[in-house]
Amino acid sequence: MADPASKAIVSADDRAAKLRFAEAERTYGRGKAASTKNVRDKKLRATLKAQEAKQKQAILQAKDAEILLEHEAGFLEPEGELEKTYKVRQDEIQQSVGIETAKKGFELRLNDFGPYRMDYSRNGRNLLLAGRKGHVATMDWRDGTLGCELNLNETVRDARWLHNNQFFAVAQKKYVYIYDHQGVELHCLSKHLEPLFLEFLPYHFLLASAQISGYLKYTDTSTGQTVAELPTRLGRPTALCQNPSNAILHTGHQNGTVTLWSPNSQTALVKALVHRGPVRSMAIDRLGRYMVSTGQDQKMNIWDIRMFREVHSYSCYQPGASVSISDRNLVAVGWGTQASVWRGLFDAAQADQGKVQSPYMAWGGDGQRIENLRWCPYEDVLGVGHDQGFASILVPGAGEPNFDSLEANPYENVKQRQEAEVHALLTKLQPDMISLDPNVIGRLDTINDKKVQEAKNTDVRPEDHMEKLKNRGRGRNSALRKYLRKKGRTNVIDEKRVKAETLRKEHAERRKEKLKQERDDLGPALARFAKRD
Amino acid sequence: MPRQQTNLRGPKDRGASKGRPAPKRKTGRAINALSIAEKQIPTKLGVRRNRLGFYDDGSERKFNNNRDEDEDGEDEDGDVPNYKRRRFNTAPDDGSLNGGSDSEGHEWKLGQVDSDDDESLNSDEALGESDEERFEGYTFRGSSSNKSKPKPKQSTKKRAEISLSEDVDASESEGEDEDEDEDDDLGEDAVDLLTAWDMNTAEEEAEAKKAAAKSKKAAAEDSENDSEVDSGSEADSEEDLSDDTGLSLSEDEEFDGKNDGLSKLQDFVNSMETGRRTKSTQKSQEQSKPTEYGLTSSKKLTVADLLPSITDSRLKSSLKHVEAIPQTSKAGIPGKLDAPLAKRQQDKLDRTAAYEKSKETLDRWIDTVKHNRRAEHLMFPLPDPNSEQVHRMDVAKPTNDLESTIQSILVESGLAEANGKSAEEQVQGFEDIQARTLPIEEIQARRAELRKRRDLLFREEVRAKRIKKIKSKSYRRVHRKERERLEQQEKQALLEAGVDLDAMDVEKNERMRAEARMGSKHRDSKWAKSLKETGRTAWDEDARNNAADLALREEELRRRIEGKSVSRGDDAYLESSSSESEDDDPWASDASDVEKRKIQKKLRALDNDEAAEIPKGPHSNLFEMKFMKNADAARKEANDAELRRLNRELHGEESQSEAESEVGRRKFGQSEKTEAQSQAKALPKNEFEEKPGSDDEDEEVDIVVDRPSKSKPAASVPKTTTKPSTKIFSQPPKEDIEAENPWLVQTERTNRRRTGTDAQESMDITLDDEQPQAPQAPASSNKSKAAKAAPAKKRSRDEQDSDDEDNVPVLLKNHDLVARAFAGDEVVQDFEQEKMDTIDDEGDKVVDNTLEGWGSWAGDGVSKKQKNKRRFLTTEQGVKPEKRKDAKLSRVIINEKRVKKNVKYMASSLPHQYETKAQYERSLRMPLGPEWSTKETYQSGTKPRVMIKQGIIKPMEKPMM
Repeated sequence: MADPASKAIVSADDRAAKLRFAEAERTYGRGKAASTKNVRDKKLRATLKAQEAKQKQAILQAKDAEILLEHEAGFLEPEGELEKTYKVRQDEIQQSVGIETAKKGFELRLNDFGPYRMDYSRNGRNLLLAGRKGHVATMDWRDGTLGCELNLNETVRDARWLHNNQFFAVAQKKYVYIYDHQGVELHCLSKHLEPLFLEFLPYHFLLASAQISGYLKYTDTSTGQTVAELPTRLGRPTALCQNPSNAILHTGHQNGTVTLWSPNSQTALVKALVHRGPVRSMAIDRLGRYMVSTGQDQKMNIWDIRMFREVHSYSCYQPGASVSISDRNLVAVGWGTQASVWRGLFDAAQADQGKVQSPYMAWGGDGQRIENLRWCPYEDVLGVGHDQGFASILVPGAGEPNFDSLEANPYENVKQRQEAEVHALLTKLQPDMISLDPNVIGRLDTINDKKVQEAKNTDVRPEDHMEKLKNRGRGRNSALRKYLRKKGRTNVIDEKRVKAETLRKEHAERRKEKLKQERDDLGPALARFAKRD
Repeated sequence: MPRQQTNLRGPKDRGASKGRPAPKRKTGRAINALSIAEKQIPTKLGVRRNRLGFYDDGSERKFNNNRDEDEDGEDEDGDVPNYKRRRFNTAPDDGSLNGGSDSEGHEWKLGQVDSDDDESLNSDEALGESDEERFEGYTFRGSSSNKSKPKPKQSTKKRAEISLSEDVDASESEGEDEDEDEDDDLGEDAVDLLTAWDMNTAEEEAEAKKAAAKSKKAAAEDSENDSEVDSGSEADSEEDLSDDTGLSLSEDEEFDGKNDGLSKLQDFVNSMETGRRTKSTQKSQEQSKPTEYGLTSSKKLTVADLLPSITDSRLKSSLKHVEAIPQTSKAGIPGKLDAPLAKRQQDKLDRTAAYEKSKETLDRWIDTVKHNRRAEHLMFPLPDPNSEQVHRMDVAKPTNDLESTIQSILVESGLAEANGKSAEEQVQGFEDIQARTLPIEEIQARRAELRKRRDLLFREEVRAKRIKKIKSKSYRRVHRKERERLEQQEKQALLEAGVDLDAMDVEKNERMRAEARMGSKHRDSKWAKSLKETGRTAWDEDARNNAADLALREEELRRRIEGKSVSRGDDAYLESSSSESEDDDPWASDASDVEKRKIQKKLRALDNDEAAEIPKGPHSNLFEMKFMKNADAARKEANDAELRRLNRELHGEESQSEAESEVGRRKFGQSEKTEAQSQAKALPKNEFEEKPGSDDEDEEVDIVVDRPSKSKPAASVPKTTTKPSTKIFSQPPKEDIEAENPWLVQTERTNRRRTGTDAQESMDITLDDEQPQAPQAPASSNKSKAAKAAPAKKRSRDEQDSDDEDNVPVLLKNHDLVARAFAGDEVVQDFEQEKMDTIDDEGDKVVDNTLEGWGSWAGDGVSKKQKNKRRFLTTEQGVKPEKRKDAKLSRVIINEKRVKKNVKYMASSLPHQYETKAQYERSLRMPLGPEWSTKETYQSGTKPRVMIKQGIIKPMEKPMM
């Protein structure tokens, strides 16, 4: 009687453990376990088993560590059917949230230097504003303190923070310039001619610019070297964005195609016809699964960029000028004077459901033509750059609530920033590692044998015949003599032959010298006995 | 054996004691001299003997035969004379077998070698003949001892010797019986008797005599001849190898001694002496010199032999073990040692033994070593297995001030006892102590008592529960009955009082109904109607609320009815999902519900239709051809996809997005009819759909306009079926719907294949061809224009499906649309072209390696055929078009070229240990970095396998496991 009971208890425990593991695996699992059943080698089997055990342990620990994620994400939720979240206005939100949060929503009126592009630093602490007519300013937007302000007096097309808030790059009329946080010009990247868009790949320290000429150029900002110059051959690009998961750059073109680039390939990795008109803007979600693009054809298309399939297509009233995807997959689209935020687009795509019916939030319509949109990392804030300045609007549930200070720390101090910089440089990835499939590193190269041989042959340096000739023997039948005897009589005069002959002359010269020396040594009487070679 | 030894020693010593050792020695010397002389004279002979032992034997056999015909058939015959001679001359040597072995003895051994034994073989191996001759006594001792060593053989030999001795006896006594074997046995007995007698116990003697009396032959022998007895004893003594020395000489004396008691006594006294003396006597006969301790070279000198001479007690004690061992060996092996093995053999044995030993010691480590090898991490110095972790059993005592203060606080607050134990523990301890004092029976009794009580309690509890249950039932029943009875009584009383109960009830019900009516519970009530008529809801808040309430009720009712119907009929068209969707939006779906249901019904019907429909008629053969079937299948697939999409939209309560509204806006020329139809339906959704920021009136209007397209997706379904559509009126708008959003259609997953692109292509193409025509055609539902457009389109693309034919009007509209959007752009076409080029570029390539004029004739008169005869074509393998990653993606070109720069980060071959690619790549699956895992995982993942602490690390002292 007692045994079954205890058994039952054990099995219940087991079941609980299994459930727990299954749950953990859903979020943190990394693929199916390798089966060790048919592994003959005992040692290997043991290793594999240990591996699996470790994985399992890691998964469970990751799940357990969830307890450390103290902040929760939440959205605006309508109370009834008739309530629509997109009708909630910014002032309503600001009234209902705490003072500190409310302060995050603000507007900057900058009427003179017209449409503004903007960028947040990686930890979301600093804001970079760049007006088309040459006004560039950085600020700690939460404190409202200005970092630096420049008037460049020439066209500014784009601006980007580099790896931290100490440097930023500005795409000016002719070149790309790099400034430091005080606004001092540090570098002029003269190879980036007439840049249109800038992108910075933080893990590779690569600054990429798309030029009017259609070239895409990569510069390593840690070494200053140009890494790649890729011709798109599709004319003036209309958009540029990066895939944060694999550091591939997506370029939008006039003919509605989007091309994918890595610095390792002179031709586009993928070319997709996404729009019917020029592509206006693109954005890729944090996991690199979906791309949202807007085009001149008044569409907003959602592509699954793992399979390269279009998932959904939405229409806009006006061509979307800018798209941005937040950490928690809210999609902001700026079209005309308005910005709308969509929620759950990717979930719908994933579940193979219908399209999302209505946006989550909306903003604008006040006659400010939107130029640029960006989500502030780790904040529920959307920055909107428009032709009359900049607006920071609150969008509940947009930002990742729990930041990872190893990755980006919004509250870092100077020391931490410096530490992080050094760490980032130490763990910098090489540009060669960029690939469409980031897991390619370390993978087994399964290419057929012939190709391997070919590859090997290119590596092997062709052996130098002259070296061989030089060092093999002397006297009547040296290698050089033999060579000249066998090959030297033909009329074909090539480099090798010439070399061989000069070599021989050299040898002869040397011998003569030697003989002479010997004769001198022996004196006039005995000179005749000097040994000839 | 020892007894016999003593016995046998007796006569010898007796002889010695009689003061006749000298003659003995003489004889010994004489014998030796004889033997030496023998050896010296026929040196050749000796050799010859050794080599040609048989001949010698033969010669001696003759002699032997002469002497005695009754020889055994054994090979030992030849030995006999020697033996005999030895018997009489050097008898002690042979008897003891370790007596100084002469050349004779040697010969005798040779005989043995010839006969059968390997014992002598050993000796032969050990020594060459010349050696034997050189080191006479010394060398042979070992071999002789060898001979005696193996016991079973000894026994056989014993017999042989016994027989020999008999022979000797026979020769001596002249005329022995055939019973001599028996005699021997008896003789043995007699010897026993003798010894018993010697042992000087009268009783024993008596017993022995009794025994002798019992054995008649023994008695007879006694009486017969004493010498015989002696010889018998001799024969026996051969076993013991003790001395039967010079028996022949001392025969008479023995005889005498036997007779008088004095000699007996002396015998006994002699026998009490140590064997060493006897040995010394033996040796004295040999040529060896007696040493101080009575040892001769016949026996190896061991440490033990030296022991008695040691006076130092300390030294003695230290040598105790030495003493012990040889004694045992003496007991086991009487006096003789093996010849040492050859050194190589010995070494080999030693080595194996040593190896075994060392292996055994090393084997003890195997587990430890294995364990350490398999260990994931090792920390040196390794944990000491000796150090056991001591768990503190007693209570922690405060060691410093802080702790003691805390303890005191705890004690004060009652959280801890003064001695650190909790009160309960103390009680427990006390009880334990008490229990220890009690006798065990007492404790058992108490326990039994306790258990009994507990059982009782439990049983009571169970019973109480049951009773309660029963009681509650019966209790309620009783009470209900009571209540009823009371009511009855009341009623009775009322009746008696003259009050009508029914009337009261009726009144109550009436009131309720009226209330309901007033409270807008009834839809058809006058009040409700009035509400409708007067439109009071527009301004009266209350009225509106009530109206809403009414609607809600109605909805509830309807749902209830529906619920019934759903449960009732299996053939019902409603699916569960529909009810779900209704649940989702009780308000909005009200109007669309019916619509939806209708649509679904239609879809159902359509499905059935398709299943049933098989084209028949004059062209049935045609339809059965393969390509027709394929086309059919493709069409069917497309239709199915469409159906599925519709279903999905219906279920997901998905209807429209701005996308369609946009589309709607583009076809300004949309028929007003459809607009009018759809408006009513669209309105509720309109509100739903509306974009927040869309304040523009235009857009609002647009949205209204495009409603029809969204709300009628179901209507488009019939068009997609293969049968020629007969619904003329319904068709055009449906087509519109599909055509309006060609890109949307394409985006649907199911349609993403060829059909979608076809439609697109067709658009573009028509754009090129019919540019003049398209703008003319107002994209209305005008049928005739559609018909016109159709042939034009057909001209442009003959390969298009019937779908496209149906789509003609749509195409025109698209055409218009596209023309407006990107005039003169041929994006899709260009893209297709580019894709084709890429496929060609990356596909198989044929390379012509032919060298012009190489290996062929030139000049006039060479035919073209000859010229082209030798072409060197090689095909470079590329990516096959059907194997491309983008083979199924019409709008994507994926570069198939290998990115060489990535290759250096890949494993060129499967790393050691892994057997398959999957195993290897699985091992890479878990990231190590702190960014992707918890700290614990990170640390355990990067912990080095071996960690060494600073300082000296001693080797393990003993195995850990």
